[in-house]
Amino acid sequence: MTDARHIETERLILRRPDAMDFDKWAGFKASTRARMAGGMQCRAEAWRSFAHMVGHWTLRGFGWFVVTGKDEGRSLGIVGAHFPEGWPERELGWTIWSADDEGRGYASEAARAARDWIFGDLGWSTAVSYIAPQNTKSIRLAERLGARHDPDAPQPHDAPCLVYRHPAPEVPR
Amino acid sequence: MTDVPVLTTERLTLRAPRLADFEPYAAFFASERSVHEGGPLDRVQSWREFATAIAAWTLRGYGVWSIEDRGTGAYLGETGLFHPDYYPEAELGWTLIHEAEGKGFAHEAALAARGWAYDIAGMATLVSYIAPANVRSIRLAERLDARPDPDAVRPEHDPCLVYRHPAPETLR
Repeated sequence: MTDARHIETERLILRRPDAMDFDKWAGFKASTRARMAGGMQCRAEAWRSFAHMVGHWTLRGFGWFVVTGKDEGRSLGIVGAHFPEGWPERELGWTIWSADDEGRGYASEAARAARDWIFGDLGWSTAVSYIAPQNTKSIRLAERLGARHDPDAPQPHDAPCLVYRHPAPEVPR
Repeated sequence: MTDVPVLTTERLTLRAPRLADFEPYAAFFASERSVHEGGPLDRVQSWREFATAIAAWTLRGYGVWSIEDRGTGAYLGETGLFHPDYYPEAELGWTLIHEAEGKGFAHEAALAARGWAYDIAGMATLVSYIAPANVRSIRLAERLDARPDPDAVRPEHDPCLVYRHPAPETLR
């Protein structure tokens, strides 16, 4: 089991999810924005997916962080390392919960920090991002991060998506 | 994450669930024997159940333990406190893998978990939600002196029986 993790960037703090994050998560999963991030869910389903994120940390020693703005302390979304049973390989993922918080580079800042942690502390040799084909913003971000579409990579069987592979850690970014 | 307490009984250790427990856990839930516990489940579904149950320690400050045979270290099942958002109150539950049944392990483990819930966590009451056809669990609930509570609110869409455990003060 890994100790509590806490990553700081210029504008953001990445921390492990806690009970206080659930209402915000449930609100996001009830919104149409969740369609491109695992699907919309009622509150009971959202509890299960939220608890899954929390338990994933215990089982794997890594997982999703809640991304929080340093200035207001407001939670903005999630970013992290995800590898549930049934997934072909380990993922670097990101989601900004509200359209109001998009377009400010938060996802990019958080994803870069999480990827450094994944390749550095966790020592992964590769990472993919699974992205819904209609999620053009995420595709653009993946490309800005240097990830490339990998048409040969297997997809999670329950979530057909595009697979973007990140540059291996030894390649200068 | 809250440190998960280790409980020791005559024959059992109750400790934090870990990744190695997932294999026997998933094997149990893949079998028909899990029909009263919401199964059968495939590995993906089992993973989500397992991770979700473990998360309670972080989200609620109480949760489930893996049950281990003190002598052999073998994994025997799970017991502990379940309280997802959609449960009206905290539940004491138990699940044993097939090989561990019929030896009183569930009784021994559930007693220890209930003792911790009442004496350490300071909980005032506990229920067990049991499928009406789950005769073994009903028998165990009765051995634990839990009684049907027809007035208790049930989890939504769950036609289970609600057994209420004796209040902590009546057990002292």
